[in-house]
Amino acid sequence: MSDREKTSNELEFFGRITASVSHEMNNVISIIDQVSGLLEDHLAAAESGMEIKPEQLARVHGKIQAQTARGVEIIRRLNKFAHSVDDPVCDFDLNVVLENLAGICDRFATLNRVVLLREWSPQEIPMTNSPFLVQQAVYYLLRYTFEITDNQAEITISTAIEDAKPCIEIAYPKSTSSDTETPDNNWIEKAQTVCALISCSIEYANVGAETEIIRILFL
Amino acid sequence: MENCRILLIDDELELVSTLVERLEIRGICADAVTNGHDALERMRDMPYDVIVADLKMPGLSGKEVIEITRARYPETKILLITGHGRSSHDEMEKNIPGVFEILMKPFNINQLISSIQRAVENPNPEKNE
Repeated sequence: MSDREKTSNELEFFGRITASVSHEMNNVISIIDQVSGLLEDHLAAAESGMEIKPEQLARVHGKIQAQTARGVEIIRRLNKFAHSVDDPVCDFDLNVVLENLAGICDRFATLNRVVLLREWSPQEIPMTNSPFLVQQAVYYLLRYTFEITDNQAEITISTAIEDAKPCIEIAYPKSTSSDTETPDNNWIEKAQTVCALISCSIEYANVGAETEIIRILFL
Repeated sequence: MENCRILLIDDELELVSTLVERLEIRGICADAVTNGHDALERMRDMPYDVIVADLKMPGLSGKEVIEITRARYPETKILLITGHGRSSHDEMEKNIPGVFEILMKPFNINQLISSIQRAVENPNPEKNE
């Protein structure tokens, strides 16, 4: 792959993530805007002689607080993600980087009507690699599994250390539906291209008749 | 407007429930659902005068809901809401027929009411027809 193609793919990934996060943030702002408008409605009613009950105000306050906390979390994740390009290669804990990515990918999961579960290794998984490219590869594989599984499927991303090497697993139930979407994006091919850059391989396995697993093994 | 029935469809529950509350304060009867399947169920029970649908939703997208609504309930006016930018807005106007107006999030309650009013008063399902 040429440098130009690599940069183009990275920008595309960065763009998809920021577009999704900005969309989510816009929803938060829209809710706060309407809830503050509701407060304005209550105040207008009070000015015309109607009583405002304390529980009405408490409810509005609770909604604003909840959305503010949601917004803070969204921004925190985006900030962490944005800083993952600071150093092309650095030391990081795989669990921490993937937890952040999983938080960002929850929205994609919701839009595909699936659930993303996490099972992080209880111990830290220190790595020296590109956190940005690791996320890029995992993102493509997650999007693939979101699209090929049935509605309400539970997809589990987990981490482990195997033979002293970091390992990421994505387990997902085989589709039983005849109308499951065929991914319109070549997610696997894209993931393989990124994996070639960060010294890891992708393996596929079955667990019983119902579950499939994609494993990313770092060399 | 008093006898109009409005259905709001958006996967952000807090958004649609607050909009319903604010519309009802203004004497406008509105219901809310958080996905396209529930919207179609509600419409089956009793068609609405206007539906206000988000474009991006889990399961059935806003576009699919619009297509089904147009086919089953041609009298129902459709407003689309979206958090996407201006270029997407222009693209949607070209690609999703049957939409009366598109509202960009965040929007003012008065903008929504004005759009509903224009939709109810206009005999054509699409503004430019």
